[in-house]
Amino acid sequence: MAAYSEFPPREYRSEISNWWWLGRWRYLKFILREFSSLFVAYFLVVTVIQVGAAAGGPEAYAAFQDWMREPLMIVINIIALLFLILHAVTWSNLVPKAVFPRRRGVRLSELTTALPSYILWLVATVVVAGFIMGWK
Amino acid sequence: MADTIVIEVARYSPESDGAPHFASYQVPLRKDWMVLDALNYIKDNLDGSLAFRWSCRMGICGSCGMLVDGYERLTCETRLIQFQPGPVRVQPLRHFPVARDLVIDMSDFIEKLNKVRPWIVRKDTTPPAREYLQTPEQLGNFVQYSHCINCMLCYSACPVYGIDQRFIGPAALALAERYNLDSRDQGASDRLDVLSQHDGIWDCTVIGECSEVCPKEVDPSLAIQEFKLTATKEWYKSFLMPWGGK
Amino acid sequence: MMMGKRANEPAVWFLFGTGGFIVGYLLPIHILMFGILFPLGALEDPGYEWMHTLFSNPLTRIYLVVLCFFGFFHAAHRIRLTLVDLFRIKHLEMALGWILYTAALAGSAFLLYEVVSL
Repeated sequence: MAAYSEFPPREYRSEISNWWWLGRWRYLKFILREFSSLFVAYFLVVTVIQVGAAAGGPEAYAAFQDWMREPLMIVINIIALLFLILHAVTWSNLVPKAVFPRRRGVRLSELTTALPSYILWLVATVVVAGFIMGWK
Repeated sequence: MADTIVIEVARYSPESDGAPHFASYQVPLRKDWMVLDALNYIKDNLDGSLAFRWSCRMGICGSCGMLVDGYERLTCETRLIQFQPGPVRVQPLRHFPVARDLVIDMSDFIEKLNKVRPWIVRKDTTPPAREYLQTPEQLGNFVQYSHCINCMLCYSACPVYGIDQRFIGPAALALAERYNLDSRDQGASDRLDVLSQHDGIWDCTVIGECSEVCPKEVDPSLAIQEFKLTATKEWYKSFLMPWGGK
Repeated sequence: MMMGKRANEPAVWFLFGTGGFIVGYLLPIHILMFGILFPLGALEDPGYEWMHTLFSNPLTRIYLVVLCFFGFFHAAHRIRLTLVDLFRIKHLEMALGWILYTAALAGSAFLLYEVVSL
């Protein structure tokens, strides 16, 4: 109902929904990607506990190993691994591109910038696995 | 292929409406029509009161940005036939105040654009003897970011801007970087001061939707992350080597 | 240079960025071995003796400190930004930052203490 007003007509302003991140699949992917940081923090804490256990002696380390053997912990760790893989993949696809966007004025393709990162990931994985397993 | 398709258009009349509502129109479904053609058909034949922006109808002026079926598009580049059997929804860009129907108030964007000083900044006082020369490589460093047509699709797509309109936003930041990377420009440190603080590059959380919707493949997200790297290097330089002059 | 609200963000952003690479490359194999394969018995656990020897090595100690320091800051930064975006608590962003970065620092300091006492 139009009422006379001495002020000019109003523009319509709306607030973004609190559920904005459910509005598009890409927004949800973003939230999941960022969510991986929770699992990063989780396993870093596990690592801190592991180092403490190693410093505490054989019984302490055995207790840590028992803790890791609990079914709930294995399930959480599998989920954590999936999120860490999500992190490593999305990071490799995105970040090297921002560090090396161009070479001599020409845009580098995503494959060119992502591939070295994946190779580094593979090398790091093999090297760390080697040390953990005590390979000579 | 059917003869017609229904378009649901967001209408808002500031004199009489409290909020936008949808109005349905049946338009011819011609295989070479864009959504813009359908809007013009509505205005010419069905409802002359429909308000919307358009100009070049060839994807270069940046005027006709709207939401088509929930996604940011240039209506002059969006084929109508892909939405058959319809209906297809057309709404104004998000995150801007709606002035009327599909027309948004873009003053915030214009203000942001001016803030980043999107022009060649020179510190010399005399004009050059001849034009500034540039190699293809120097051009290549910024040319992608110069393709921005100021259509504001990226602002509509960006949740950070949607949550807080104080964020300078993708296009303005991409254009700032376009000039920072231009070998003729000497204004990088001035822009850095502005953009490193309030609501500049650091508000961006790399959602990346801006680059997804950009019709000119500017990749503003890349420009922002590049800018963050530069700003970080400058910060550490000024921190570790404060004697360095500008 | 004018000092504004986010003027010191680069300091944390660098830690976040470096941490992203470090945890991305290193944490998956840690989780796979210590969290899944060893507990399930799919791979033979090297055991306390070897792990203690390995962790006590000076290079490994540095490795652990670097992993946790950059990793905790990476996670703290990302959690802070995501909470702000998700729950629209921009006004709490600075406070959240202080809490999370202090936690990251505390975690790193605790690990340093453990690594020294190995």
